[in-house]
Amino acid sequence: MAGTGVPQGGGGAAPRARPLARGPVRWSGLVPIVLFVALLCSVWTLFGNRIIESVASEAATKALGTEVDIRGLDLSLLRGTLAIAQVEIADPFDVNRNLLELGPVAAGIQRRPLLEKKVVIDSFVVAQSRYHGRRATPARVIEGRSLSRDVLGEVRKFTDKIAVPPLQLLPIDTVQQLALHPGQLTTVQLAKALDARADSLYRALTAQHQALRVEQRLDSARQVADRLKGQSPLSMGLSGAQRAAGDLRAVQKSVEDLRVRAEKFAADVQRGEQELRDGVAALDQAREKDLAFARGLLKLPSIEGPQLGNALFGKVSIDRFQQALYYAEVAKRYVPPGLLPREEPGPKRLRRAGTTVAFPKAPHYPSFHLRRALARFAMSEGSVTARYVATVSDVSSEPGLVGAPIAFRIEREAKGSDLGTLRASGIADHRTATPLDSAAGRATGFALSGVELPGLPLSAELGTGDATFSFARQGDNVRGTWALNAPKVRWVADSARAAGEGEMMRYATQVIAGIPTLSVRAELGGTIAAPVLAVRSNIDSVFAASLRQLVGAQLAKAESRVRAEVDRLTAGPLTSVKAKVDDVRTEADKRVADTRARIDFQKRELEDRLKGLGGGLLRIP
Amino acid sequence: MLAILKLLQSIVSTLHSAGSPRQVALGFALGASLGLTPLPNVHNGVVVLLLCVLNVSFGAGMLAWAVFTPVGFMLDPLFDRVGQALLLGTPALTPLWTSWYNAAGMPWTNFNNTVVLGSVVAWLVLFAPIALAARWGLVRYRARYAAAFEQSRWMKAVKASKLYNVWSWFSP
Repeated sequence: MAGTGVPQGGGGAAPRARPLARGPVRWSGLVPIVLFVALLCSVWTLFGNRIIESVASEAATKALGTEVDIRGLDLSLLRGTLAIAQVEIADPFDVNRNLLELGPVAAGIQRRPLLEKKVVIDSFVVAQSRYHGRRATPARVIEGRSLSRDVLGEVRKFTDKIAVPPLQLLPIDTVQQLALHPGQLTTVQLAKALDARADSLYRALTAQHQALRVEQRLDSARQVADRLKGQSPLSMGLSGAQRAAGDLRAVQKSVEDLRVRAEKFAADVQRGEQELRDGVAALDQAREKDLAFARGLLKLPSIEGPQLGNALFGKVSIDRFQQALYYAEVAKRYVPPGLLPREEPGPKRLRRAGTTVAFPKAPHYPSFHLRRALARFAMSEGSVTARYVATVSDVSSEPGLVGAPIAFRIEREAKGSDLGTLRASGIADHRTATPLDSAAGRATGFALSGVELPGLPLSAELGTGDATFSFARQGDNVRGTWALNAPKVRWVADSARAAGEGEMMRYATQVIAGIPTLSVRAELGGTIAAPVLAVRSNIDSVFAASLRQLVGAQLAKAESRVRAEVDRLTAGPLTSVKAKVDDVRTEADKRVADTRARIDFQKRELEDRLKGLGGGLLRIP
Repeated sequence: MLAILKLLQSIVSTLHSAGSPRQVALGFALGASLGLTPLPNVHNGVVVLLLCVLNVSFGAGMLAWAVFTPVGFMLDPLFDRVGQALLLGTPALTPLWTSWYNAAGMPWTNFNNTVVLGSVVAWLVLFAPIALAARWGLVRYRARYAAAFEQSRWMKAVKASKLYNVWSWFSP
């Protein structure tokens, strides 16, 4: 490495390079390095915790998509401890309140995994915490794409798919004239489409049948059979008999080939017929939808139990389930199942971020693992303070490495007080390819939050009661129940709004306000793509009966008018398309049966000729 | 302004007197890492350490940093693709990445980021060509143009700056 310092390449006028230090190492260069390291250590000592506090707040804010403020952080790598004075996590659904306030927090961190850029927290103890506290200043809205925003978008798509009928209580005598147009009705559109499909299917099957060339093939087989009628080896000679047998086998093969193709044709016919049958069934379903649509145009009051339940308590039920789904979706994003390499966007920097890939492998540490967390917190309920204990275990980015699902449990300690009990628990099991997220909770003697009845100038103050909740998502399937039972309900009427409403609304308000208890049960089922919600309440039957008494006759009349109008508009297309479908099916079946019969006949005839050639004695090669 | 002055000084000192062509070439090739690869990474800390401790031209390293930074930005899409191909497109290497990912210290190198890995690999591949090209260019420059440039008024002004003295701490 060391040279003479004399410039190379000639040129006597060039300046001389300075002589070099001897040896490959320049020890004096260590001075600035040592100074730099000392400077780094000083900065870390003075500002390390503040830097981590700021970085951690930003990282958590970015990760959760909602503002996270961390204050009073003290990290000791030597002792493996972390203390935080306060953590505030803003509610992603409401900028004016915190989802959670924690503090002080003490955590024990393993040092060895830090060398692998992994975080394993043995214990995380929260001495105090508060749920849904008001924020001193509104949380900032996190701009751009964030996990929270994406998840909220997914959850809203899900909830939008749950149909919640509005409660219609307009007076029937003011109902507008039903003005339906055939183009508005799904049945008519579907019937037209099915009609066209029947035509195209008929044309396709006809073309396919013609392509079989049944006539030509069977004619040529028949000609061979006729030519050999009455012939025998004696009349034809042995060589003639062999040739004839060869001809027979060739046409037999041709007929067999025709049979195979004819069977394929028959299968296609069956598929086509099934398609048409499904189309006809869809027409009947469409007609029911059209009836509902036409009723909607008239704004007839809903007086059936299930409709009323969904209309009155559908929204509040969806609110409960959407929160559970939100956290299930967050768990899915952060804890993807399996141990394959995982790609994530690289860190933000001036240069391109690239993609950062994780390569998890058992039995190594996961990127993040919180073995056990314990939080105790208190909430005031009137003059009494309720104490809660929450535990969380095995929160991990790679549960496959940990070998245990994420589990949580929360309980209210109510011994020696008039307070009821609350227990909730759940797991997020992402160890397998089909993750399972489930949670269940039960509260008895609990102060229930109030409920507003959409469409009615009423809200319910539920007082103390019982509530249960369960939610599970396995793969794309969801199921859940939510129920509450309030034995002493106080109905609060919005008198100003009620005064402006019609007779039916006032009547409905009176009826409901006379019901002393409230019990609601909502059941969620189906899939993420097609969820189904059914809500029942004790109000439904009472309310429906009262409404039926008040407006039953008028309603029946309006309903029959709707049905007649829908029938009038759909009957023609329905009859026509059903007849055409029947024609297509009959014709196709006839062709299949006819073709099969002719092929079978020809096959038998060819076999007879072949036997005749042997004269019953010779074995024709 | 100070940065520009610093750059000019580093160019001048490197081209004229700071070390032999071999030292300058090695310093230049080492310093290329600072420009070609994302700066705040462990391997660049090692490169700076080597530039300080090894008997190579520190100024050449700084010059290479300045020269290769825009090149690095321009080639980032290519580095990203190289990194993708190595990290995700070559199953034979997956056991290596997996063992590195789970080895103490290694994950802090950010080798599992496509741009970091792609650019480091590109720098290592280009190390020898960069060093050879720098040596060839320096020899030709010193032979043909250096004397005239040394005597120019502009050069005298640069050398008069106090920062030049600070810079000379790191000259080999």
